[in-house]
Amino acid sequence: MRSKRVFLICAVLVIGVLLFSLSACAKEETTTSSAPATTAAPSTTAGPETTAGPTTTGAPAGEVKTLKIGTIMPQTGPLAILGLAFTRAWDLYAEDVNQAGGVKIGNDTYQIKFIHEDSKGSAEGASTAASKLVNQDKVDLVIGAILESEMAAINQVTEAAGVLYAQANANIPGAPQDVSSDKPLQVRPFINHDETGPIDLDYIAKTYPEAKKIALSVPDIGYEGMVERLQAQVAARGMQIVAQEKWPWGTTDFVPIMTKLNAAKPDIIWAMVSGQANDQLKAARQLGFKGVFVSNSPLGADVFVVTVQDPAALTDVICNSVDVTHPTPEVKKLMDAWQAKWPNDPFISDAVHAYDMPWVMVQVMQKAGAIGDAATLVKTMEGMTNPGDIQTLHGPGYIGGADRFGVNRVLYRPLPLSRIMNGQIEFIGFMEPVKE
Amino acid sequence: MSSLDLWLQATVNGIALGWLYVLMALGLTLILSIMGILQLAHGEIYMLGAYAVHYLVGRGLGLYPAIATSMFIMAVLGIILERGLFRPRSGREVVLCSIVISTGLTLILTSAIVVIFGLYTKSLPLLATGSVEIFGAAVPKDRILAIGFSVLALVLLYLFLKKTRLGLAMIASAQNREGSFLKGINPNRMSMAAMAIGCALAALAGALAGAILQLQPYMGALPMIKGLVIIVLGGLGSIPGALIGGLILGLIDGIVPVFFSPAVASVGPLVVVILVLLFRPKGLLGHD
Amino acid sequence: MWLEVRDLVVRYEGAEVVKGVSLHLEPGEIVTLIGSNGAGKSTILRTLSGLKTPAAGEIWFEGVRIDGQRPQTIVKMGMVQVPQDRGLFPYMTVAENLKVGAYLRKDRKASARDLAEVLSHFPRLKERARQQASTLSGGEQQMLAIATALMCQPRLLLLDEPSMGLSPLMVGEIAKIIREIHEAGTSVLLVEQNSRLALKLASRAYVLETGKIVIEGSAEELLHSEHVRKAYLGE
Repeated sequence: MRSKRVFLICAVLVIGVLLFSLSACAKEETTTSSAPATTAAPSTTAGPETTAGPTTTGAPAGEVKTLKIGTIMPQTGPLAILGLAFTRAWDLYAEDVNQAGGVKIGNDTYQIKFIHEDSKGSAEGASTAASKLVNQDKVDLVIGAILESEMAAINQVTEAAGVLYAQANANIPGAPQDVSSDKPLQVRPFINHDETGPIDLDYIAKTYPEAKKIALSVPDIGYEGMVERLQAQVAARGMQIVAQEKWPWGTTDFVPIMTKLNAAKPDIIWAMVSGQANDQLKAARQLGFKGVFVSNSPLGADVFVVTVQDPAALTDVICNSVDVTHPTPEVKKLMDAWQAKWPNDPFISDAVHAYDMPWVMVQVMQKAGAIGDAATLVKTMEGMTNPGDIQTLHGPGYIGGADRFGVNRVLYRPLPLSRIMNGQIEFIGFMEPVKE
Repeated sequence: MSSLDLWLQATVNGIALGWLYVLMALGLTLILSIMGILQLAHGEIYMLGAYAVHYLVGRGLGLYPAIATSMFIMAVLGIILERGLFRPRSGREVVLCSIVISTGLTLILTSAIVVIFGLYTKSLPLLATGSVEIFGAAVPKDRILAIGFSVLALVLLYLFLKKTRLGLAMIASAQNREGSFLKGINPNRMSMAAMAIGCALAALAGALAGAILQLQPYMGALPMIKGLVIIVLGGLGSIPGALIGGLILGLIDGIVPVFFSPAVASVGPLVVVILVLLFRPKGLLGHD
Repeated sequence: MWLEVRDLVVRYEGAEVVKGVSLHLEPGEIVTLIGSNGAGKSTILRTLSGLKTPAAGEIWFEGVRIDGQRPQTIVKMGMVQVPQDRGLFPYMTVAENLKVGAYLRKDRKASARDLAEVLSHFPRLKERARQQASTLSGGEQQMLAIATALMCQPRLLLLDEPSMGLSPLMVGEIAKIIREIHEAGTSVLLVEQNSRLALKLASRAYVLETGKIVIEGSAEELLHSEHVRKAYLGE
């Protein structure tokens, strides 16, 4: 009987797939962001071939050398879009530096050469890529990776080889792969999105003085530390968290979560870092929630406007990510460069975060006066704690994090704050992260 | 808000999700019972259906005409796939071949959408905004509309299968293939009709899901799994089985995350399927 | 000749089941094909209906060569089979089964008329028109199978073991129906293991043994043949 056989195959497949998806969803991890549409396929283009160019600094004793930076990003698979955005930003950074004649570090002038490798979104891929970069290409610095598993794999290789590793993920203090003293050669020239907590709360206290009750929507990927921190910040302002719901990574329907949060009658629904704050806003508004919605996430306000559509829903929404509709002149320059080079591909806002990464590391090398010794560079970086010690696309920043991570190896810089009212984005300004 | 309101909201949401699964399962079960193949790329038809609506809306078409057009396009695509890929050829093992072909199709269609539309989440216009009050609970209007459209589609399908010559022939072909040959029924035409209807239903489900949730190139995998679970649960080839199975799964997804936790909700279908297979191996409403 | 089978050879998974059979049938005849289980009777009918492609030989119906044609083409030409398993649609109602029988008729009104007429010949089916086919008794199922085939408006009806599994009372009833059908102008090719019944109904007969025709002649002759009486009538 054919139908019986098909049925049997069906049943076996179903159970297999269910088991597989169960085990898979337990292991998913956070990615940084979601952004406007792009039509591009993942690219694996290598950095521009750079040899010695005209030296503007003209240091008499120095010679033109090459700073080799190895990058590891997922270039294939579901996270490929991030790999694309990051590597393009890095190529644009290299172009900026090299066309200006290189960058002076110590007595020498350096051209920057990127070597891009594909992590394939897996620890194995990242490990292979890191070994190749460290042992074969002999890079001076490794940057990149999105997933914790990738970062752990890279750190194992770079640390053994004594190479500095700058990770590209805004992860959580206490997470196994965040910067800490037990990973001496790992730093993070990348901002944490939960640094926005106090900024958002202060803005709400000023703009919506009646709003006191907060309901938290939390992706279930180990945000307990972040929630605890936010709780203290909320309490300090006389507000309270009246409900808190965790949702598994990979959730597509947010109506059940929002139904539960809304049942607590909150004044504010607060979506913690994920790429799906827009879907959460949609669900909350469809359920009749009329209060303030905070997107504590890397989604740009423009993404909300495009995806949520309904002006009534797009009211009293607070966002604090790269606002591509209100860029700083530097961000604007990056966007223009992107558009000139890839006119058919919309700009991806993650490129802004990415561009800062090698730039920050080069500034650390300039301060140390050499590209060499990784331990010295980390030590130098740990000392750059005064506002203005670091330049970024969003203005002056500094290195901090000791209060949260035990070591100062994390980038802090001004954060944009926007509010959406009736479907229109109001830009409020660039806010300094507040230490609390 | 009382717990009754919570129940109501959760139930309506569960029923809305359940109906989307029902639409998927109906197409799968039609194709499975008439063609005897497992069309594993059915989830990608769902995804394509949603992206077709996205494209058409972007070209200025209204949401509802776009959904209708997308259903039509997917029906035609279904016919093309049947003729080009799935039609039995001598010397080919039907079941195994269909699994290999449709798995390949899954990859091709997903990659094509990634290349054309990119990896980022897209959205469709909302079916409706805001909520209606039912016994004091705010129930999203778009979910109610999605339920309405799905029920309408099922009623039309039921009338087609029961009242038309072609529909009866399709059921006949599903129940006794050789018997249908001896009544002069052309099996290839039945397969084409099954693919066309199945794909149109998947397109409708995809479009509704795109409007109430979001669009991603990988969005087809989950409803495909749910569809398979439902036909195992409800019984192969059974329309009432697909309906009951779909609503059970939808209610699990709608209610369990609210009253228990999302983790329990993701284990739920597995437990239900294992229990059903243990105590009723042919599914809830399956025939022997 | 109306229906002619010439040197038909049919294989199942390499094994020759029908080994060069020739037979013929003229309009208005009831011809029977008798033989023991596994002699190849059903295979011949399946090949006639296009469910099986012959390895060699030819089949001609009304001057058209039909071997290797698809079943629906053969049904359209007026040759309709009631298979051994009855070919019913078990989870459809009696009325729906009959409607499927009229699938090839595009004229809705005419097929509705046919339905009423066929049901008038089968009062038992009329009573059970809304019942699922699988809930009918064996005899009723056989009636439904024949009635469904009649909805195709056959000129030649191929019946595969219509008496199988039926009570003696029911066998008589089915025999009566076959006679009525014949009187109404439909020719019948009857395959039966119940040789006594078959020879009583038929005008001519073929005896099939391990894929070959061993005896052919009028039913009268065969009823008196020594071999037939010993092997098939149990005398």
